[in-house]
Amino acid sequence: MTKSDQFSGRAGLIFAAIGAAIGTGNIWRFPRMVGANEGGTFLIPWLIFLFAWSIPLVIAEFALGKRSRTGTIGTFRIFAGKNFAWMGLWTAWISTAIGFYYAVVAGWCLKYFQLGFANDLVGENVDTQLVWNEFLQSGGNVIFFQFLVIAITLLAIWKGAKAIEKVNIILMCSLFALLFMSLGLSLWMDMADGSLDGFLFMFTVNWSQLGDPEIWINGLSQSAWSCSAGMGMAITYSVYMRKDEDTTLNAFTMGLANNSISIIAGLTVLSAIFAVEADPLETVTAGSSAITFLALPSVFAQAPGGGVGAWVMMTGFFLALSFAALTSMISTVELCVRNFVDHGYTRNRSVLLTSVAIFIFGLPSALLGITIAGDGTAFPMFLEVQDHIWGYGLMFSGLFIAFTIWKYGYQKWRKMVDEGKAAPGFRGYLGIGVSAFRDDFINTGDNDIWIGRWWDVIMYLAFPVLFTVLMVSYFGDMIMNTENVWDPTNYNGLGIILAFWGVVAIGFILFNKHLVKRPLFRNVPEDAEVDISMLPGGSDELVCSVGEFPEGWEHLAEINAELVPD
Amino acid sequence: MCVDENFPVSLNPDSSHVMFRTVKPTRSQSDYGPREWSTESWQTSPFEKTETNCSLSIGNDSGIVLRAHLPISNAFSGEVHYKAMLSTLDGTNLIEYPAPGEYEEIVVEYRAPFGTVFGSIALFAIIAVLVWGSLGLCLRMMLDEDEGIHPADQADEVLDAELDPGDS
Repeated sequence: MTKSDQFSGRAGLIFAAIGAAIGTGNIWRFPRMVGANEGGTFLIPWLIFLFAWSIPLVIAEFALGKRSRTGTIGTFRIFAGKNFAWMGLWTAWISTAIGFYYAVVAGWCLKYFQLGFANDLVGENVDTQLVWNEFLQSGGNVIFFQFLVIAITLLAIWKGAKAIEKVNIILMCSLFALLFMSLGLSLWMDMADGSLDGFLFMFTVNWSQLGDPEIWINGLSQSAWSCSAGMGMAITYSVYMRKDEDTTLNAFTMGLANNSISIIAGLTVLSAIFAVEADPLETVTAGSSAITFLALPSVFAQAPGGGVGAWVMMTGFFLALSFAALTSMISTVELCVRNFVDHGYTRNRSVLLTSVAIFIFGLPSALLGITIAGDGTAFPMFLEVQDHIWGYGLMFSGLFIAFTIWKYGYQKWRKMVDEGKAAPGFRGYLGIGVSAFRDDFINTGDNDIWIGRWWDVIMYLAFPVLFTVLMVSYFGDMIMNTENVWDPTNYNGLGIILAFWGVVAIGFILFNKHLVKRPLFRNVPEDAEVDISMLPGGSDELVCSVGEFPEGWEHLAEINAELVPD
Repeated sequence: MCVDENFPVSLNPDSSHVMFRTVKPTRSQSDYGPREWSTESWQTSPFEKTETNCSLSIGNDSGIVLRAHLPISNAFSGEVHYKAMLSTLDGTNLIEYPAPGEYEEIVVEYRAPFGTVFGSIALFAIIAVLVWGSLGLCLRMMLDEDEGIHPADQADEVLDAELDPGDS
């Protein structure tokens, strides 16, 4: 822990950030959402929320991380104050808890790549439902691929930022190439019947349905989850930024690249399904894993070029899916690792600890509650419940980031009021608050894109309103349609979600006072001006730069010298 | 529905009607779970008498067709559940089909066209310009920056050149 860890250049940061954003959500969830939400009609809210939720949030995350130069816990400790470090812990936990089961899901993708590569998904006697059911019910097989994913992730992040950068560049470039190849074959299939109906469906707006609130809510949730906005990924990777990195341009690039890949993946999947399936909408409205592991193998088996075409399409698609899952997995583990490193743990130990924890806590998702649905398809009940609980917990992370910015603005405004430079009252705050954060940390000399007051409006209004809409619609739907909804033993109820959230939040709030007793090491690049003295956590004597040690913590230098190979 | 032409059927929609509801996959399915369905509330549609004859189940052809229209759009796909109730003119006898508490099911496929060529090309063009065009612009700005043509730097250079007397 003697020098700062950095990406070697902008490409490294961009590929790592895009890799974090692009995951299975782009390749299997997006096509399903387009299919279930009236095709092109869905694209309108999805695009609007890219600019009204995802990109503004990523801009905020990059700005926070670039100044704090620590992971999520440190960022909240520095920006919101010592009493709110638990918010960073929540953000880190949500990402890690998603990582527990996401490693299992990434393992499924690797398994299907292996099946496709071995040509085991093509043939008259192949029953895709049987293949899926047998795989999911063979615990050892699922665990092997889960382990493989974690092992690859561990190797990718072991050496820090430069290794993460290299792996992401290779995987992302391969993913682009594989997806474009699959898209070409899909469009060929769709054109073969002379209709190109998959393309028509995906890009046709049903104006009568555009007012349907559910389509807008789904557009918002897809945009938020797909971009990893509010997940803390951008905070984490901005720790490795060069000192003069352009954060707004990076945020726009990340969001736009994420949506570009979604469009390509959506077109690939929908074109292939519409080319082959008699009732394509019936197929695409099933769950994501059902489309990916049941429908697509049988669709790809009919790719042009006979057996060779089917093999190319199957292996290409599932390899692309595996790469997307792996890059997201890398960022998930790194987010957790960064928080350990910030608190004085060596990188090697942090990586090992996180990987082992993700493997062990992921085992229940791999093994428990494998259930056969009414249509005879197996599905992982425990994993499904985990996804419900932690997936929506992510929304709080976005709100916490907005809160941090409001709080910074509030302090700045109070100071100005005391000095007689600003008007008191709520209107006075609105005029100064969020704008102060924007002026101090976003519209800096490093950025080419100037961010206007629209960003303030989104921070003040859109975040709380959209957060409320998402939560009310989700919980309202659950309360209306679920029996024993408050029973915490009901997997599908609201009680179990609130119980998990409550226990974790209370635990973290209680743990907060212990958390801030440890020193926090900032990964500050040489010559960077990242003064934090005017921030709520700026007077914290335990906050220092990498290589420095606060009084009473000098022993960490010896431990790190022994454990960290330079 | 086929009833005897002499049957004293009442066409009052309160007592004679078809009840139906749609069942469709939810718009936001879970990612990993089984398919989730959304069941709408029961609605009613009145019967109307037609001139069409039909065969009764007892074997003679003296039946007439009673018809009810279910207002379901072509863009719907899923299941339709339905059940019917007929009343005699005096309202004393109510006949339910099928038996009380049961209903019939029809699986309905999507029937509307998937889209129009011009509309889809227009939306594709808008999205391509907005997403890929903006992405291209961002990448271009990045490349310019990496080559050292930062707009702020350019402005500084011009300013420096103007202020530096050695250059004149």
